This record gives sequence, structure tokens and C-alpha cells, in this order.
Amino acid sequence: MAIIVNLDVMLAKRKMKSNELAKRIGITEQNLSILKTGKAKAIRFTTLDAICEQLDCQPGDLLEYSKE
Amino acid sequence: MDNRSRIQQVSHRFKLLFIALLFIIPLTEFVHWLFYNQLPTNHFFLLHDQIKDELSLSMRLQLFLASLIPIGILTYGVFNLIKLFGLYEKKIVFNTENVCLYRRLGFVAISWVISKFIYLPICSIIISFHQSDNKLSISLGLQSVDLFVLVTGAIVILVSWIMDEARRLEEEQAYTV
Repeated sequence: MAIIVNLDVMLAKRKMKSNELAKRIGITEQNLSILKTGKAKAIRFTTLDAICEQLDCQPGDLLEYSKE
Repeated sequence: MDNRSRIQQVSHRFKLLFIALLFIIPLTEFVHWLFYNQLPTNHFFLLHDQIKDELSLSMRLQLFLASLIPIGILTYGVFNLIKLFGLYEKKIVFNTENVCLYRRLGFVAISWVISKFIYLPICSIIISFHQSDNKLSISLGLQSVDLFVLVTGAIVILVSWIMDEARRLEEEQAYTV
């Protein structure tokens, strides 16, 4: 997919572990892994909102478009 | 009890029923031909009226082997139903395998009607070869129930396409975070 999820980069910048973020935003680690590995087909605004809030970032910091 | 648990429970019962049928159907057919001469006159065999003499063992065996064409297809259909209800039992409702099984069941229904259409002339040839009058007769026939099964088979194939759409939606739902 042309949309790249930079969640792992943001997690490293904020020195936060995946399981901690999953717990804070109220989704399963498995779902967060789907998002991190780029397997996700869609992301809910509520999830995006919660991630941005916890990582103190903008949606653009998490999602990136690249021409394949 | 939620809907998925209900599906699971009922599917388990259906699976057991179809497992029993997997053995009962061929066994009944075998017993039918084995004791054909002892059975009452008006039973299920369509060509019963053509039979004038008592059927010999070899003839009954030939008729039984011919009956394995529709029975084999029917048993294959039952086998697929066991697999389908086995998936439902595991709470797998919209999966690629479910879609394949639905499609297969549709084709099995259509094939069953075709096999019955072939089975009848084969039986009539076997019977006419063994009758004392030495007349060769070929019977062809379709019953209203066959047409019903044919339409049902086509509908089941259509349902399999709809199920495929549902599978796509569920897959998308599973990958929505």
C-alpha cells in the first residue's frame, strides 16, 4: 500500500513500548501490531485521535504517502 | 445465549446428523438392493413397473453399482455439509473455505440432478438386458423435485458469491484498527 505507518518511529522517539501504548489507547496489542506492520486496511479516527494524544504528535507524523 | 454460540450449538447437532447420514445413505441403498425382492411392491424405485421377473443377485449388484453415481454425489454433498457445519462449530462463519463449500454444494446439487438423469437410463438398460422378454428399453425422466433441486443449486451458487462479499467485508473489518 502507498500509505506508510510510521508508528514504530514515533514510539521510538517517545521511548514508549507498543504494549504500553496499546493499553493506554484501549486496543489489543495484536491490533496495534497490525497497524505497525502496515497490514491494516483502515484506521478509525478515534484510534488515530487516541494515538496522537498519547504520543503527542500529528496524524501526519504517523502516516506518510509514498508513490509505489 | 448470543447468536454465535447458538450457531455453534445448532451446527454441532447438524454436523452429527450429517455424519450419521454419510453412513446411512449408502447403507440404505445397499440394503434396498440386497432385499429388493422382499420389499413391498410400491417402493421408491422409479422403474419398478418395468421389472417383471425377480432380480438376480448379479443384477441387483449392477443396479446398486449404477445407483452409486447419484449416491456418490449425494454423499459428497453430505461430506461438504459436515465440513461446513464443522467450520460453523468453530465459529468460522465468513471464510474463504465457507465460500468454497457453498459453491461446491451448489454444484453438487446440480450434478446430483444430472447424475439422476443418467442413472435412470443406465438402470433401464440393465433391467431390459436381464428380462425374459429380451426387449431393450431406455427410460429418461425428470421429476418436479429435480427441477426444485436444480434451482436450489443455482441459488446456493449465488449465495456463495454473496458470502464471498461478506467474507471480504469481515476481512476488512478484522484489519480495521
